[in-house]
Amino acid sequence: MSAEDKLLDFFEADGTPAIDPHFRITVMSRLAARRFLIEVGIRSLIGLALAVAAWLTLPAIGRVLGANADTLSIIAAVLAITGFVVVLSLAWIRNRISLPRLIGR
Amino acid sequence: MTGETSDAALVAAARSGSDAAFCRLIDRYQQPVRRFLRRVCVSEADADDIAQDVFLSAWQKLRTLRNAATFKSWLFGMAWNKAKSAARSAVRSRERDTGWQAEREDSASPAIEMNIALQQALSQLPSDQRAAVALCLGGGWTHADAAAILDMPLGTVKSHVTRGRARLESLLGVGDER
Repeated sequence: MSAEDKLLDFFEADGTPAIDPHFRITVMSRLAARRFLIEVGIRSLIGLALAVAAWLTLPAIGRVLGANADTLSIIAAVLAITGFVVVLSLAWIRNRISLPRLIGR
Repeated sequence: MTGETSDAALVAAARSGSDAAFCRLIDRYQQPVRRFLRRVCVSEADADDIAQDVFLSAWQKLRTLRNAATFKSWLFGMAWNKAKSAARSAVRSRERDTGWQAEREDSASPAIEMNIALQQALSQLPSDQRAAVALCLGGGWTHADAAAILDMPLGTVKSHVTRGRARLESLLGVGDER
């Protein structure tokens, strides 16, 4: 066997499969996890912005409605927490549902 | 390539959110990318980890790719950059793997022994030379394409390939057989 042949054999016979489903699944799982984190981050920022906006406008709304500001702040807090949980849950559910689609061909 | 969807079409589909298209790109290029990284990184486990990172980065940066038809060379360029970064902190693991391979030689068959010897010979080349050899001799890239991927002048790549080939043959003691 010539030197050229030995080098060619070496580069071709390295045992790397043409298509390794495990590799693809690992990449797509990591991709789904990264996408999930990005989505949660974006939704958290939006939720935080909405919460800040609600907190800033609460006194004005209270004056307009003539209600007790403490009661309104409790309601706003409950709504904000509920909204945040809903957003997180939706992101989680979407991630769980889309994973098989991600790794399917 | 007849009947196969082009890279440009798959990239366009992946950019618009098609995970199936990105899966096809992974399937199409996982072997050449992993093979290249295994030659450059020496440690196969590290190479496969980097290969995963390469595809993840490709997914994240897909919108920055100007010419979708150059996806393959863009992917290899990213692989080379990641391999260079990883190499800076991989000296210790390389020594460990080389030691492990040396132990494994005792029980290996002649074909495997030759492969190990070649792998060790390759690992003794400077990283730039190794990458040029892996692309041009192992991956079938032209010198010009390899120069673009490695971000090196064409003459440098040609020189690396010539010297790398000679060095490999010399290390293996087969240079005089031609």
